Amino acid sequence: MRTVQRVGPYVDIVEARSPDNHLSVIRLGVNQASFEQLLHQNLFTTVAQYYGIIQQGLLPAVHAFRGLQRPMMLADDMEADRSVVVYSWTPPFDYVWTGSLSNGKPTYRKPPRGLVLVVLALLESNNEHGVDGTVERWNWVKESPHLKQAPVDWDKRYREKLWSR
Amino acid sequence: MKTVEEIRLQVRGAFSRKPRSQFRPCAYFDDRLDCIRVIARDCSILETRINPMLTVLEDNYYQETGKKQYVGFTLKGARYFCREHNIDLATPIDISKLLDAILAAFPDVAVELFVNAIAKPLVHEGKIDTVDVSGALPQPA
Repeated sequence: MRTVQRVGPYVDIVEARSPDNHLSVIRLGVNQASFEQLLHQNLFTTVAQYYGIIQQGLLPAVHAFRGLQRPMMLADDMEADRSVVVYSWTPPFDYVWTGSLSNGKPTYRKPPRGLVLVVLALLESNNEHGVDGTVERWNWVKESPHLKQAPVDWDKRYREKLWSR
Repeated sequence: MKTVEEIRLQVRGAFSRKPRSQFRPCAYFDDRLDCIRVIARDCSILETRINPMLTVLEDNYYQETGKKQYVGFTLKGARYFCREHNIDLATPIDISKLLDAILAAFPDVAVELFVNAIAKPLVHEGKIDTVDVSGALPQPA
């Protein structure tokens, strides 16, 4: 079992393909504040999805996109969306937490057909911990009828497609 | 691929500081992605766009469990939206007023249907009253 890699303010580190070149690998941190939010709200299923899918790395991603086509403010940055990279692919499995925390467990699920997983990462530059960005969010969306393993309306959701493989 | 037992141990480890915790319907501010997320059920979520700033959240497996299909919604660009609509970010935001502002901002049938048929019943049934956008860690509803 892969162990958690704590580095600086990151509760874990996962590998992803570089936005610039899918043949290169970058390191994404899991932002402590973002992960604490999931714990604070007792989102067991989202946390189970992290350990079951995301923590294995984002290397299976088939597409990467940059920029969100919607307003996004981070601190005083009105164009923070340009720092967002979105990875998408169709993992063959999903997890749902059933029961209480103490007596419950993650249940393996085969995802419904026609869905893709999207993972949003925020890129950072000149990071002192050697981290290239942070993993911020993951959820399922409907698949594009025109581009396999990409989200529906990807050209309306994101500013640009970086690569497909 | 990990076993479910390995994942179970990791999840329990992550929550080890709050061993008696249980999910309750909640609204919270995702500061990093500038979103207000309203979630009425802990489940695997399918996000479907209503428009560039609104998504409705569905349970991926509602048909298997017999539970309700819709489990929440997200307002994206929340800081921008609140400032544009003179909603004070310094104090907790009344979700009902936020939904009224959404209705006023996006006068179309899809948004009206979303707010009246999905969002308002969800926040009412989940007793989700306010969301704190000030940046402080919010409390569950």
